[in-house]
Amino acid sequence: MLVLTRKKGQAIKIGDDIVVRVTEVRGRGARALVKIGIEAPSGIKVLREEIMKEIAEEMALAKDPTFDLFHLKEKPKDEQPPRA
Amino acid sequence: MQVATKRFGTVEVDPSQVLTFPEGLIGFPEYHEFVVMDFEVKDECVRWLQAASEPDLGFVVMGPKAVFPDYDPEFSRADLSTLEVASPDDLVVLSVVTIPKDVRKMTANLQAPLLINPQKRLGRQVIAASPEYSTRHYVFSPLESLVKRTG
Repeated sequence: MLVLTRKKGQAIKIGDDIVVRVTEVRGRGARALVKIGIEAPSGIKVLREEIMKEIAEEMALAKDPTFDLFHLKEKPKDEQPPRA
Repeated sequence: MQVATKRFGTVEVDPSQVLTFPEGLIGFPEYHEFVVMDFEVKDECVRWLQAASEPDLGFVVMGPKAVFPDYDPEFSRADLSTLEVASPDDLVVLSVVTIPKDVRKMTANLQAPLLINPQKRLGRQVIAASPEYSTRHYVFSPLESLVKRTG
């Protein structure tokens, strides 16, 4: 992996159309946060890495449920409302 | 054609009703053909999405607008162009429902809906750019009243 060091406001160009810019650096050590601005053509998907994983995990949970419509038509025995 | 399902047994399906998801679903990229089925009792709100080639791969899906009338996620132009539609209004939107043991805690995934071009029978699971939608929105109570009303 190519690793480059940048200061706030500096950017990296990827190909002709993509610019990745450090717009803010905040905090120190393990709690440091970096805000990054990305310019890319609309055809390029830009996603936080963890989002795909979260959605795939949710899809795995959703798969093949033992569910019937009567679950919605008849009140479940236990009347506790769901916790939000 | 016949589709084997764990949920309903073997079901006869009109081949023209098969939806193609060229990239599969998120987490299940290897399955490309799906069929939307009704439950034993037909209901407009809640349906079943079945992989045509894998009996175990089925999901409960719902039209999110029935419960979230203001649902209006943004999608990238690239996502829409691969679905071969000019406007998002030409798409059918379905949300995948997660149903835990306690059905009252069922949730709809509004972050990664299925977009379907009904004319081309083409589908894609896309990620909404809008930050207000997550993978879990509670839907039991509103669905319960909708299903009662219609069914």
